[in-house]
Amino acid sequence: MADPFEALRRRDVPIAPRTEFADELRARLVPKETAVEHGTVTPYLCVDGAERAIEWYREQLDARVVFEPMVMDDGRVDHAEIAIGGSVLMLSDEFTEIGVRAPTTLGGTPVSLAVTVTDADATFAAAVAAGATAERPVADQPHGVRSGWLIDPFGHRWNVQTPI
Amino acid sequence: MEVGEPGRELLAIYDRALPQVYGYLLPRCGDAAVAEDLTAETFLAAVDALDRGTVPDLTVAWLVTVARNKLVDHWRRRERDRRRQDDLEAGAELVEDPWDVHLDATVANDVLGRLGPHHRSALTLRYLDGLPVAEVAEHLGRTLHATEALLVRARVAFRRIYESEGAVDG
Repeated sequence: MADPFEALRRRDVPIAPRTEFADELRARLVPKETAVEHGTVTPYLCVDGAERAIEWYREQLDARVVFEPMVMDDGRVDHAEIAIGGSVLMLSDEFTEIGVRAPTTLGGTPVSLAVTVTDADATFAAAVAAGATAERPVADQPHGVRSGWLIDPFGHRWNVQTPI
Repeated sequence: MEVGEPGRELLAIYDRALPQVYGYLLPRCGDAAVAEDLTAETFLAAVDALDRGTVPDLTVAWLVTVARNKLVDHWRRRERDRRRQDDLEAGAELVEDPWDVHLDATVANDVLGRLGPHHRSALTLRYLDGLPVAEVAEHLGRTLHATEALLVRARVAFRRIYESEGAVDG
């Protein structure tokens, strides 16, 4: 005797749910990206090795490329834009013929970049492991943040901080 | 990694996957509001899994598997609520007589809806989805033996209600 329950086997057919439901759910799946703004003042970094630098900032600081590198005939990056959180940074390769020189060529940098991250200790440690130089270790600061200073592999100084 | 990349991957198959997931859930739970909730849970769980990198291969078939887990979870929650009131399981009839009947699909569906959630989920996975008992056991988080016993009780409970509906044709 056949098992009568075998007759319950379903051959499923697609069923479209309500359009409003489908649209609402779709909207919930859309990735919530931080809005990116060009501020009134935007840092424009010069680095020796722009494409490697973009990769490093992507990996260490979760940077996203918002303007693909424009590459000159000689292979140098003329202009690129990345976003970290809601802030844009512009960058290019060195153009010493017009005075655009990287910190590694100049032997230091007078400008520092402060970046807010969710875990300054973790970001700092990972950056150092990936070639950055620790300048001042992460510590609690009197003004209410936990932060440290490092020089990235391209010579730029970063103040990596997390509000306490 | 680009922010939000996993969500985009899912959106690419959303239009094709949505009716399949909903088409799996609606006939099994028989309630549009519950089916919508479980459909949303399925897709949001997929986003999480993609974020964590734990999706072997993002396909419609994989999403239906996630939907099946959500359905089982739903019935498990219902079962927990029910058990607080009474425990019908104790002393349940375990003798299963041979049953030669041709089940009417509409009546069967109605009967499934009247069963306790644990019986309903066992029969759904075993018969509507056609899963082997071992896989049913895995989904329900029970041992093979306990699942076989549950299926016996579920069939007996099903039969009792089915026959009381007066729809027996065999």
